[in-house]
Amino acid sequence: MLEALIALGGLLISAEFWQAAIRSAAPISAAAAGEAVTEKTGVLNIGIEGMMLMSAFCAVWGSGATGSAWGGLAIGMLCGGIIAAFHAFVVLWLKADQILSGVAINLAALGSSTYLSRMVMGEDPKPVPSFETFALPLLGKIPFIGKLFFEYHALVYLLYFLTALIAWALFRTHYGLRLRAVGENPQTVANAGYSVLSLRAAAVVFGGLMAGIAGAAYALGNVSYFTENMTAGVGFVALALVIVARWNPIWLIPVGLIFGGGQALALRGQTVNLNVPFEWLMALPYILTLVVYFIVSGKRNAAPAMLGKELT
Amino acid sequence: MKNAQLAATLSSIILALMTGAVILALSGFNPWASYINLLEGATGFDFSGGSRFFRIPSRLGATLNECGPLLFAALAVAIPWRLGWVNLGGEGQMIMGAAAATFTALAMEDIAGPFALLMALLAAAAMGAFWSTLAAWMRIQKGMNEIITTIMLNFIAFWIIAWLVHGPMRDMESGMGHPWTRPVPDDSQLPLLGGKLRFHAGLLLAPLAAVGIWIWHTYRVSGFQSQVIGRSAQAARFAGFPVAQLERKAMAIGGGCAGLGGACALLGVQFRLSEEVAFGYGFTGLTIALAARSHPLLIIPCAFFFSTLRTGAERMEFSAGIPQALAVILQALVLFFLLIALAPQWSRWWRERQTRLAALAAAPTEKGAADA
Repeated sequence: MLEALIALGGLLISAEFWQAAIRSAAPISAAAAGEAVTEKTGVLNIGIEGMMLMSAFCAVWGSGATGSAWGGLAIGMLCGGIIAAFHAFVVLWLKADQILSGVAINLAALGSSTYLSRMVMGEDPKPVPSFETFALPLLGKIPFIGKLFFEYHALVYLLYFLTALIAWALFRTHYGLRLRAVGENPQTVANAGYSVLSLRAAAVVFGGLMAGIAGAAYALGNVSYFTENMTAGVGFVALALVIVARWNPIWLIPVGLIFGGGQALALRGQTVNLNVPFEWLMALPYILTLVVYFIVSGKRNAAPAMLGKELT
Repeated sequence: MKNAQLAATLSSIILALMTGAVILALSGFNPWASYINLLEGATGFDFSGGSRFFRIPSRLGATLNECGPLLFAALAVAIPWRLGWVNLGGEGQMIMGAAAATFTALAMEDIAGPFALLMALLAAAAMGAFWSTLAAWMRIQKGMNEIITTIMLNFIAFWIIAWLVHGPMRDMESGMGHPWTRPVPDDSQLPLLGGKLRFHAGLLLAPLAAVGIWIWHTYRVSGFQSQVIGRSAQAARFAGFPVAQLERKAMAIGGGCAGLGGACALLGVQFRLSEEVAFGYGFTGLTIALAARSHPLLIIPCAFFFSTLRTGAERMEFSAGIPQALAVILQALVLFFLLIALAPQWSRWWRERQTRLAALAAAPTEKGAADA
């Protein structure tokens, strides 16, 4: 028991653990930041999981087809955007149920990514070009700090940068103000002469693009192949993290580390002798998310006023 | 269900099948032959004009066996849906139910028989209800979104089972290296009925539950009250209905149904608990519930249709190499078409058009009146 605790302590202060945590948190934070923008306009997108899964597949396929990981990223992003545009069409134009549309997107993505990966890649897929981890020159040489901050693949920096950029744009630009106003009081925005519909549509498609990048990062950053249902509920975790971060993308960076840390523990915990079954470690990220969600919820409600309301 | 909704459901299914045919054709399969193959696989009928039309009765039995768990999974969605709750945790609740059933049946191995079976079913229902009540409690107490919590609970349930079948409950002697538990004793399994068809008693259990739920929804006061909550929780609170209690009850009954579904799959078909015990049932149940507009009786034919799809797709992968995931795509397509067909915007446009036409028709007479 004591030995296991010491092993756990050693793991928690090691640079490798935090590196893994920061790396696995990056796609979740970015996807959640996109979702935060969508939800700020009052539209709910449950389909973020499906968008990530489908773009993960498209990114792997695109990476193989174009021969470059960046090509895969672009195709994955496009895929997320297209699915989000469909969601926007169904929800904003036809005024259909937001939750059902999201559920259908999740189901369709699960089915078609599995179907297509069987048809296109066959039983044993070949690895495709992916984003390689590299240490930045000079900075990467600093002991501990270098490993912690300067030894990732390019997408990790990009994703964190985008998350911070979204936070800035949402709270410090006029366009961001309009987006937030749509979620609080659409009538005011309409009276000010802006189109509620196009602002919302833009936010939904933007959320899809972010989910697309995140899905591509999930497939091409950590591994270089696609497996069935490889996102395994990460999209739903992102939904929870948006609430935990109170719809502020900047808070998603530390909050993402909760789930990222859980995943890192599942990953790195197998290398040291923790004396805990592997399956418990795998369940840990989800338990952590639930517990943190439980702790922060129930206080003052920070949700956009129009979130989940029927769109008119 | 009104006629328009019934028409929407049927046309969504037909459109989904047609889109599926296009997908099959695009991926290089013959759509017609594939669908015939699917139907043969699900029913055991022989459409090739052979000597015996009903060739393999046990396949129809397999489809019927699938019906029970799917029906329960659909009820698990439909009951909370009436109150405006989205229970995506059917899969986790089924998994936990199946685990409880296995545990009980194995613990009562010495007195295997109808009593042990009954206890296993009860344990499964209780466990499923417990798992869904967790989500209900979190929403009522803290306002946590039940979509997120039920999904998280699904994953937690999955890893609990994975641990059980890899660790403490793993069958080391006769397991043949698979991560699964010992089989439940023969006498504690759901009895086989139907002679050659070989379907088990779960097929009777599930529709009974559905009818019971329908009676509750239609003839009991609390059934009416839960419908009011679904339409307007504010009105229900104003009327003094015990909202939180009804919500907890609905989620518990839904979870109990899911647990029974898991027990049906385990005690009727699989016999050994494994990680795949309820794979994909949750979302299929959701599709069924929505296609039937959450009506407990209409769920029965819908469940039969989707279990045909599932078992047929399974056989199709086996015999023609078409990925089984086609069944999932078809389900999603049914949902999409249903969603689009029932979108409120159509009727709004129709009403606007009617108003415009009426205004145009009225305009000349007004003009005439003014002239006169």
